[in-house]
Amino acid sequence: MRQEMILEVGGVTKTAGRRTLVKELSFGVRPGEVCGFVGPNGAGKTTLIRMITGLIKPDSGQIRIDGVDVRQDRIAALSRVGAIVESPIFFPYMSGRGNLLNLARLHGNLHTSAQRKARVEEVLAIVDLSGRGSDKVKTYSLGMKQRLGIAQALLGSPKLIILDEPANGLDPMGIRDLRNLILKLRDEQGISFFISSHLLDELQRICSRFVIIKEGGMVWQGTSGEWVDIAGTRGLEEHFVELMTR
Amino acid sequence: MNSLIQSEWQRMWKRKKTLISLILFTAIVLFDCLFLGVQRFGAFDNIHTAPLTAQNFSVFLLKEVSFLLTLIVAPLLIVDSINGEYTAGQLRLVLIRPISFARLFAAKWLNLAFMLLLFTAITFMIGEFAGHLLKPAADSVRYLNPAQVYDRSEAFIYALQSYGLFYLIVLAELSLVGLVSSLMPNALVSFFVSLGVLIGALYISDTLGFFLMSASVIFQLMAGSYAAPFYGPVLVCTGIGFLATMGVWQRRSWTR
Amino acid sequence: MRALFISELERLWKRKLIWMMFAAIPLIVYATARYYAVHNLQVPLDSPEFVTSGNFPVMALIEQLIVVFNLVSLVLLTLSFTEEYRTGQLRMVLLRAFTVGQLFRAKAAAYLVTISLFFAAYLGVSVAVGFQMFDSSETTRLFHHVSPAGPGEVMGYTLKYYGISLLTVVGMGSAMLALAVICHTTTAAIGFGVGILLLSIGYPLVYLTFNTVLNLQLPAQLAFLSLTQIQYEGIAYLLADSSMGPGPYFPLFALAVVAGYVLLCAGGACLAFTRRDRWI
Repeated sequence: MRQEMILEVGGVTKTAGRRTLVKELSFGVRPGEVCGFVGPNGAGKTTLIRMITGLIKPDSGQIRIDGVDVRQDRIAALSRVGAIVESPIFFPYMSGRGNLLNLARLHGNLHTSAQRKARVEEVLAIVDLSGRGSDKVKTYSLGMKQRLGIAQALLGSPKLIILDEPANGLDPMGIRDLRNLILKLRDEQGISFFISSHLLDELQRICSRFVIIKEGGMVWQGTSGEWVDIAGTRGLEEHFVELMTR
Repeated sequence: MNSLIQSEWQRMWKRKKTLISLILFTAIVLFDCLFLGVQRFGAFDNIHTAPLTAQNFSVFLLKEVSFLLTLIVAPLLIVDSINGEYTAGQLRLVLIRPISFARLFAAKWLNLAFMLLLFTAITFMIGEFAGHLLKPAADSVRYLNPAQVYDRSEAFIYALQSYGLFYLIVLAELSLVGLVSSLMPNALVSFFVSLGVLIGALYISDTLGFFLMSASVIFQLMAGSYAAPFYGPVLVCTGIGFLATMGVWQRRSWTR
Repeated sequence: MRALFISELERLWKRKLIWMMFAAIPLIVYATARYYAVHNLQVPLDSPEFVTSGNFPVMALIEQLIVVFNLVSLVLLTLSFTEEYRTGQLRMVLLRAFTVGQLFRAKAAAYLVTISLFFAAYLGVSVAVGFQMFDSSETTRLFHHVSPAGPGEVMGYTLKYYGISLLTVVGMGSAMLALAVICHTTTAAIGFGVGILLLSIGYPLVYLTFNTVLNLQLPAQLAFLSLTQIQYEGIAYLLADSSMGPGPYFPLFALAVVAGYVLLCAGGACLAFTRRDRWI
């Protein structure tokens, strides 16, 4: 059972001064699963994502990605992960393709320039940006930046992709494209997703599992079906508000 | 490690800033040559001078250019790469790759060291070229120490050594400004605190005066009249600064 | 307008960097005093360069004016005009019911108040340090003055020196302001700002050299087109005894230079700031 998890978070706590940002969080994500990570603004979602990607260190607890402890072997753990932390900030003075080619150098599995070029074209095609790849990133719309963000996350052929509020500010077409992209990657490449968001209806359409937090602590976790059952006729939104105000 | 350096190098040159500062720098160096070209004497300090010749031209050019390099160009390049890129959030895309933070810093350091070598080498080459173009050649040259006489090839070696010593100072500055840039909250503060440290070092101790008074220290060093220790402090600054910053990068929390 | 000015002042003074600069004053003055204590051993007692508690405030200003004060001014301007604008923070203010011209004037006023305070604090600290670290003497020799001055005259001289210095720093600041408004990043603004400072320091040397070598016979006074040159020598000339100064027209010339910087650069900056589209 342990081995099967692609992402395991075990008793993770992080404090900053007197404030507890994340409190004893534990959960797991299975391969091929899309897991929604839900909580109000300031609940500690981004803090946890920073810890999963090794940008900050937990005070206690452990995080394993594909069985590798992030703290003990960050490099090995991150070679299995692609991520967007907050909104992706690219190098504005380079083209979309240039950004990806530059970042591709940092993946050990892409040794030669030919390999890197091939992989960059591949991911550009997946996110449907091949046509605009040569334009400077500063000319991109928000939706295109978000798709380029997924492209950079795909570079290292990850088993797990972490997205932090990916739908923020996207228009309905952008949200639909993003949803289809996530489902395609899950179905065709078996990639697992861990997505933080507060667009509940949107998450419900793609997630098979939910983790709900409030003020850094776990409030509820379970499958999508279980949540729908508990919420009943009230709907997810009503139930979520109830969980948060209880 | 190699690919890390290449990725840094590529980003550096894609920034317009880099090319513009190189062009501006070259233009100012050329103007400095013109300025030196119309003068007959070069000054080692307030008292000692020597006639300008093709052989010692590049050494006096270094004295003119040194402030521009140590107080503007180098701090700006270093702060931009070590602090600016991270605080603007652009480095996050790099930090989440399977690479070690310490190595990322080492790659940045080496990249900057190479960049600064380029600026130093350009100054040297322009200086040698302009010297032979604007000034008559002399069979023998004296510098700050009148007892030492140099023939043409020795004078060339002297110039090369001076630039080498200058580059050592620049490397020490790279480590120091790198450390400051890793600790400060933004590029602006990093730049001015670095400037304060470089200038303030002189008030702390004469031993650390080489950051501000690089050209004068080099003249004295080459003449054998420099009283304070040089190689020890320079190497300690370079090494300790580098290792400390590497430690900071390995341990810090990346919250931007 | 008053509210806008206070909001500008408030934001500026929330920056740690500003507090750091003020906190550095005692350190700078102390370091300068130590430098002069050593320097005193090398100059004769009746030289105007011999430091006593009376002339220390002026001497401490002379030593640090060109670098420290101009850089402090550059920091203030870059923080207020480049960083706030280019990082989009100013959007919050631009959306309120004020004209951009009012905003510009409020920012300029906040800068003027802060830099004046910096001068005042520096004066206060150097008076205190001067009395701590140097002997007092009944009379003080001033630059380009025929006879030694008494305490009252020295006090007036000190105040005038600080006042004129402030004007020159503001003149220099006008040029930096123009750059701060034009530049897209803080690093560029700093780079060009420090660049123009070095340019001003280097210009008189270059000008006088070319003038002599190429035998152009241009008036030497044109070296004072550089504000740092006015800071370096000009202020003492302005306050000199009429018999020992550089001539009756020098004050007018110096005034024209400072006014020229302010009108051209600050005016240009104001135009650039108010007339352009705000893509932030």
